[in-house]
Amino acid sequence: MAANPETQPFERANNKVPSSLAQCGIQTEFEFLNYLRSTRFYILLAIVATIGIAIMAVMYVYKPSTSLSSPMAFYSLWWGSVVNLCVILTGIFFGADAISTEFQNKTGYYLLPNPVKRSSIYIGKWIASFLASAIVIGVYAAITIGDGAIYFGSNVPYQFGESFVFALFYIFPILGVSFLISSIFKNNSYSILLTAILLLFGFNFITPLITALSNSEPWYVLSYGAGIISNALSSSGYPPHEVVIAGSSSYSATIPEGLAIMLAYFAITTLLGLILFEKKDFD
Amino acid sequence: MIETENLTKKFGDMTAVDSVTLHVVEGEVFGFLGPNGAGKTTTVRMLCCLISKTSGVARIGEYEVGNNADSLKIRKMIGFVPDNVGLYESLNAYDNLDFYGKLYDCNETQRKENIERFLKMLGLWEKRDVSAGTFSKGMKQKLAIARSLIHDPKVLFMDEPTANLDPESSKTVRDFILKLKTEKKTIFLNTHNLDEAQKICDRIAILNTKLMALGTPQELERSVSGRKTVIQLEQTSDLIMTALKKVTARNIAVDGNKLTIDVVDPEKENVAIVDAIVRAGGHVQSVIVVGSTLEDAYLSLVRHDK
Amino acid sequence: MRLSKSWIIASKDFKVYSKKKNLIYVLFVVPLLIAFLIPGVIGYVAHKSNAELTVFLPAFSFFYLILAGSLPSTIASYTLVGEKVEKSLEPLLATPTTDSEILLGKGIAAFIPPFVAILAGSAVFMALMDLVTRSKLGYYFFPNWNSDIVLFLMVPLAVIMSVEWNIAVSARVSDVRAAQQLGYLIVLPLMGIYVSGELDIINLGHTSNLLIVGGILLVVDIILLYVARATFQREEILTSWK
Repeated sequence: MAANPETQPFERANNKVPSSLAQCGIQTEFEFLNYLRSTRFYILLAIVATIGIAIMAVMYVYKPSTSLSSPMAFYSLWWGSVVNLCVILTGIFFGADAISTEFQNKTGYYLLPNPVKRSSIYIGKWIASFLASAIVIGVYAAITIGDGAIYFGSNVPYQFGESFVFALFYIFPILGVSFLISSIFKNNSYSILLTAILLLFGFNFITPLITALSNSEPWYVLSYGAGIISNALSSSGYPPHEVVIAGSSSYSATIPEGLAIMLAYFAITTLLGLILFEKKDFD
Repeated sequence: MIETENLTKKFGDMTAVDSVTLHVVEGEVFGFLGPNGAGKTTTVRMLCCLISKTSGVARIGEYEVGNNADSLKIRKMIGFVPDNVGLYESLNAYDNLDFYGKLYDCNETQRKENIERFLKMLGLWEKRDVSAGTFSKGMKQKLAIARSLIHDPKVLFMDEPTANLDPESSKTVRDFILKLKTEKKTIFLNTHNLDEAQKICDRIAILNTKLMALGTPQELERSVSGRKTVIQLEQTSDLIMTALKKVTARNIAVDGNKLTIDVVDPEKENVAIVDAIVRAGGHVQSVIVVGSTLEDAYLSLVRHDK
Repeated sequence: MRLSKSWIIASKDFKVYSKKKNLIYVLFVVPLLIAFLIPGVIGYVAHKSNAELTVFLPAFSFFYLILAGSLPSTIASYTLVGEKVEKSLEPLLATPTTDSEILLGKGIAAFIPPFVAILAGSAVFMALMDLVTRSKLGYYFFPNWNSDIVLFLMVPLAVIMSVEWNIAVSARVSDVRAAQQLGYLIVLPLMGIYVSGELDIINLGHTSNLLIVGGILLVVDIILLYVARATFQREEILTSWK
């Protein structure tokens, strides 16, 4: 006798919803694959390679004595002065439109009706963006070490390893800021513009200028905290926290301070971004 | 009005359109059928001077496709409704049409008149100040059609104008096309909808990279495997079969008391067939003509080509 | 080439922008934010001497040069990539307009709004900066020859460069998101000019150096014009753009 649907429970072979962790994993997997197959991932790799080649050419042609005087000086120029820009570019490329694209391209219409938490989507996308960004930074580190080997062989200072770890840590707040901005807008153009202006322009140029003019420690500025990446490779040792010259003070974040600033930015921006995404409606 | 001779388009090694020769007269609704990837849209784009042809000749009116000097003139005399409507969703219906009217060099009076005329004909006049982005699919399609007519073109290229429309909107568009035909506009219609092609097209071409067939819907139906007359008798007999063989030399299949006879022109042949059966003492219960439809013709051609 | 056709296309784009209030806000907010923020800091917080102020002040003009690279990317993403997304280029290309007329119209539409925003922002910036520094310096620092060269020569050239770059990128990249992100990369060489000035590689305080940099921007603009024109081909757009 056939089951009466009104009296018999309808059983599916597999009617369990994956756990939030599993959903995060699925989102991470597919978003990461999406990045690996995207043009911009390879373009960003090409950009960091181009930066590396450009510096290699400058070193080869001009042979600047200060940069070639020691491995620390070499890595300070090659890595310390450029990697922050590379991290910012990964934030713009992999984070700026991560959330807004779901609204602009309406792909969220298909994603969100599924039994998946928005937080799982957000965190999954974040992890995928981090992995893609870490690969780009890793490639640049490899190029740096490769060229360092030409001049100094295997003599890579341990501070380079420190700086590399700090650079990877810098990806956290950069993606936090990018994802927050992406959660604010439903339009990729706005989110990319604001992310680019804030990260490239705001943190790197305006706020250091303002803080130089105001003569105070810019503990609230992300790029101040990120200064530990290049400070770790300082030839004369890690710079002191405060240097006073002719009545004007200049500041360098200590390593714990820098990490704390980056962690604070990451925590606040990620939390805010998550809240915004949870509350956002489709029009 | 539209002429092509061995029109060919290749993208690298891939031939999208292969030696297509056709002739469309003024005032005709010409249907262009074919499977996905057959080259229909590519053919239309060549004729609209949107992409270049690889070889062959094509003319719209007195102008030659592929001649740089003629391309602007061709685009001025044609209207084009692409498969993606491509409206400016931020602008309202009136502004969308006004923009295109200006690009087609319509003066202000003519523009205003045409905009009002077509929006009223298509039932969109009340919505002229509403943003196109809020329109339903059917309304967007109608607005796209109005856009293609704003400059009063002689030739209209329409690429699947009723795709994704509900039955009512589809009918409105089909009726509108027939109305345009009464205004002597030449309409080149790309469509997947065989029923639509049958209802409104004067002639149909079936394309699958190459031109497979060209003719009126009736000619195409008859071109493939003919039709059959199915006659249900009360009782068959040898007498009836002998009488039938004198009247028709075609194949007769017998299935119990049901006869299935191949015919070419059932309107003429059925009379003699039924008459022969009755004279031989048979009692006819029903006569049905079962034929190849345009779908049969289309599928037969397309499958055969594969 | 008929300029009237280009102007019709540009006017249509302006009408589209006017419906997108957020776009206008984003365009004007950033230059105006800089215009109010920096004079505010200078006026109320800065503890620098006059000599140090006169070193800092010229640098701020270059912020607007950097904005000249980034702001047009937002507009260009509407005027070009937006047409891709809305699939509205095909019917436009079917009209009796040439590729050059369409390109010029799009270029005008992408040039004017960011240029006006930058001019507005820099005008407010200079007025406020003069207001807060007049008492310290004893004279009005802005406008001066160098700031005028930056604003009226280098900024429009940088805006044109950004527009052309975005056109070229939009044509080559099939992913809309990638096109937008790549469009913003044009900011990097402009940042390089600013950083070179800060590192004393180029003395951007010399008028002659500014004119040389302006000349280089002009050459780049001409090269990118040919690149953009070469990529904006009717057939390429219809068959390769997705």
